[in-house]
Amino acid sequence: MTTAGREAGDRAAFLAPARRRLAGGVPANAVHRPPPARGPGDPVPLPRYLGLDRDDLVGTFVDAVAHAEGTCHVVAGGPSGPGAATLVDQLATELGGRTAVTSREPAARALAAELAARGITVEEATVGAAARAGLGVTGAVAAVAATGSVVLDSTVSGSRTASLLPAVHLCVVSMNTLVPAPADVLRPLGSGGDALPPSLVVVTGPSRTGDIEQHLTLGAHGPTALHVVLVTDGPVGASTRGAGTRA
Amino acid sequence: MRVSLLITCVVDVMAPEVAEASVRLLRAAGHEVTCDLAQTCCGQPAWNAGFAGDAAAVARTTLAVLEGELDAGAEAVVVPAGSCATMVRVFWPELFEVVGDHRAAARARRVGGRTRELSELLAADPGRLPPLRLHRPVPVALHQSCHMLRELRVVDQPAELAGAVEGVEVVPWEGADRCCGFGGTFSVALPEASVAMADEKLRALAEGAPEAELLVGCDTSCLLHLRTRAEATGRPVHVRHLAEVLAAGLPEGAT
Amino acid sequence: MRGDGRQPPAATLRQRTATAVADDRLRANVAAAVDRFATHRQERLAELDGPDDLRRAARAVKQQVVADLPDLLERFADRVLAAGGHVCWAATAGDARRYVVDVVDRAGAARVAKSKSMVSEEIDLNPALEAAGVEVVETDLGEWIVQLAHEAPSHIIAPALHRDRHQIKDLFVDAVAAPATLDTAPAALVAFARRRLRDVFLTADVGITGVNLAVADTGSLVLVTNEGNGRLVTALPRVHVALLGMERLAADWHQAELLLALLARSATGQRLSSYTNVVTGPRGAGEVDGPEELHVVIVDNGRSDLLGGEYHEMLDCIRCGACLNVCPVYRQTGGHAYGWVYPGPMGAVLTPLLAADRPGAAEVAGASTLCGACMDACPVQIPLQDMLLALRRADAERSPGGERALWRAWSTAWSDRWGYEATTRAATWAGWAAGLAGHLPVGRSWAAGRAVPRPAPRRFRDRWRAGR
Repeated sequence: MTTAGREAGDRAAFLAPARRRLAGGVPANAVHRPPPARGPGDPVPLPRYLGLDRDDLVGTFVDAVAHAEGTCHVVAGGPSGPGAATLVDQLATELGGRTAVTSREPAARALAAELAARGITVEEATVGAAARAGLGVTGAVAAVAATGSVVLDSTVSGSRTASLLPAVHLCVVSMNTLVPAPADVLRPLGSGGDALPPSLVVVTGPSRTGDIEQHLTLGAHGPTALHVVLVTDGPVGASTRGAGTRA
Repeated sequence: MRVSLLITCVVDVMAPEVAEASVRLLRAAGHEVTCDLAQTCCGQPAWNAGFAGDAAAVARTTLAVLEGELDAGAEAVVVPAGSCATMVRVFWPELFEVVGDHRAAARARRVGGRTRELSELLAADPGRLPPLRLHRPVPVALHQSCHMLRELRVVDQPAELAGAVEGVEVVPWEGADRCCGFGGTFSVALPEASVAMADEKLRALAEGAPEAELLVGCDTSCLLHLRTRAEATGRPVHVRHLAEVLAAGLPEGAT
Repeated sequence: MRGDGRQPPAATLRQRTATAVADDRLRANVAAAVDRFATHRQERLAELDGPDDLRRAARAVKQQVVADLPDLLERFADRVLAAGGHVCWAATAGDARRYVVDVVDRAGAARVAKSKSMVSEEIDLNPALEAAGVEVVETDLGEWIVQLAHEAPSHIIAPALHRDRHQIKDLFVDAVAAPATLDTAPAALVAFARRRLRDVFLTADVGITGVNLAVADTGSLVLVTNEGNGRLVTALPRVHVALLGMERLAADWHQAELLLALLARSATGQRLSSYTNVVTGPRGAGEVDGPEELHVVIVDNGRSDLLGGEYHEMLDCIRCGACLNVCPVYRQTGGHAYGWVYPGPMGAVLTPLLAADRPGAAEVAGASTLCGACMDACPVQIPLQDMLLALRRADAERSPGGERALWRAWSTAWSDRWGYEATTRAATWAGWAAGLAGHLPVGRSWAAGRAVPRPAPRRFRDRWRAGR
């Protein structure tokens, strides 16, 4: 892949002052002393979460989703199973006459089909369709228990805006991809030699703003509500990318 | 043990009773107190304002005095002011390095290593003090001055010492550890902000510890700043240095 | 210097702070906001095992990054290029502005949607785009508010925290024809902004963002947002321009994860923000949205001057704003008093350094009582106090003769026992008793709001000499 024409400015000239100044070494603050310099191979300490129950990742995840102002529905038997029915009924009713969009993942499509069966118009996620829709259904490549997050991969779902433009985001994720902490998703990135997807988003709750008197308001520019469907039978819709899943 | 008193210029000129109370307490705890009057000031005002050369000139004088005290057998330098104790222990070595006086920096490290803020020293061995008792109950609110709290990390000692005085009730309040707004030359360089910070502190005091009769702290500059602002607003606040409160609890005739 | 209303600021730091502290509404708004942030920060950090150890580790990580910065930047740039992005090496603010204006021009863009970028404020990007005939719309709600009000942001995380709901409603009515009946409940104001700005996302040709953290190993940009505007601005417009301060790197994802664990907790008191968006290259084949072009503008603008010197550690800053939220001075004045883009303790250090050629920059280092609360809050343990002192020393060397002479007189007198004794004795006798202090300039500053304390009739040393 040629990079010709995609680099502007003078790299060497830009970096020369920095190289020059660093060549003389770095002063150490004498009063508030810095920690010893890290060696090249030194491990970076791992944050440990006191509220994380490794024996009950599902319970931790459900609580954390709620803490982030989302709602988690633990569903057995897949998105087409009876466990999901109540949620699908509720969403279908709330949608009224509005449409839904679905991204590419089989699990998302399966759940979207349930909506269609209840009379909701479901479209493949394009920007236009997502802008019109009241609900966006996507999968996720991982879920993170400590923070209640789901991880969206643009090459797997094919659409960024399906989870972003509609006011309600419904995310189907398999319990097989539930990991304890963000480190389990983030630290392995790039290490397998795999390129990262163009967009990888760790979603933690619906959109929000505190810009008005620090009053928490859900639903700023992104979704107002996030429903996470954690499916306890897998591997429905599991990602082939494997981001965050450990062998 | 023998301890040498660093009076501090603010206490010397504005609140000598604080040093007097400190001496009484130290003696009551069984220490011998010396004080070499060749001392002047720790140099902090100029250091904070960025005039390191001037700060060093003054600090050097006091450094030599304290060094002499240690050489003559004092085991510790005691300072009835958190910010001055911080200047000596935390900032003197850097001050002298900045002006290129490495020898003084080394000497400062030695002196600083033996320097203690008053409550720090007393609380290290609280059993040495006789039981302290006031004639009547007095609720107090504590102000935790910044350098003591965040540089010396002397956090709990003032409350422990005050609370051990029979009759003293330490009233906790929101904002006890927020800066009062003095900040040395800040108080006259940005006086409006300085006063606003004092007002916030005084408001928090009135709301959070309305029953407190005294505002007690370990830094006279902070207390003067708050007292004089309170006076100017027509809602005076009574301030005392911790040493005065503790000394008031000494048995009659104790030193 | 930048002022309120994008006009020259009130002349001095003192004037700006005096104006600010006289505004009771501003003070109340700022205090409420920072208290919430600070409280939530404490709560979230308490969920971690050994948060201070993590801060210490983060400091070590950032030190390593800055020590290796040139090589890391090269690796980062190479990975961005390999992922199909563009890289611009912008040594100066002008270089960055010119490049961005050129990209926007070549894209034929009429409208640019911006997600928050402090660097874009630093380089005065918006006026340059507007001068080129492009409509620039800030989409971060707080930034949109200050844009409509023609103000500078007041806080790096919550740009409009100085305004309450009534002020914001009035602004919407005046500036964008909101109905006068618009409810002042925050939810209603936000819903209004959502409706108004949705069209901007859908029609903007170019999206401009900052970068919270760039990861060298994979050429990735990490954008940490809550509102969704950062994602929209990088999903819908055809071109994405990301402005990156050259120091905002992590070498690898281990380092990045540690920093990200501390960032949201320190900034807003969240475990993670709503969206931690990792962008690597432009859109891929088969994706229905995402930018076709990604431009990463790496900006120096004075940062490299800090390397290897006294202010080296300021490059560790991850722009979380925790220092603002605990600063007792910021609490009283809000952000505009600092006069430029960065307020609070980090602004008091960065302004004299990055805005050095602007008049009035140096004195901003005086906007501090050196209380140290900022250092206790900083997730990467930057020794802010020490840098403020160093800045004051640098400023003192340039100071006019008057102040220098005063300190010289003081040190001459007080470096000698007898000089000290003579001056303090004189003070106790005459000066204050005659109210003299109130007539000196320093005394006037004190006396404007406070009683003038009297010295004791006898100094301690007099009593000691008398044999106590």
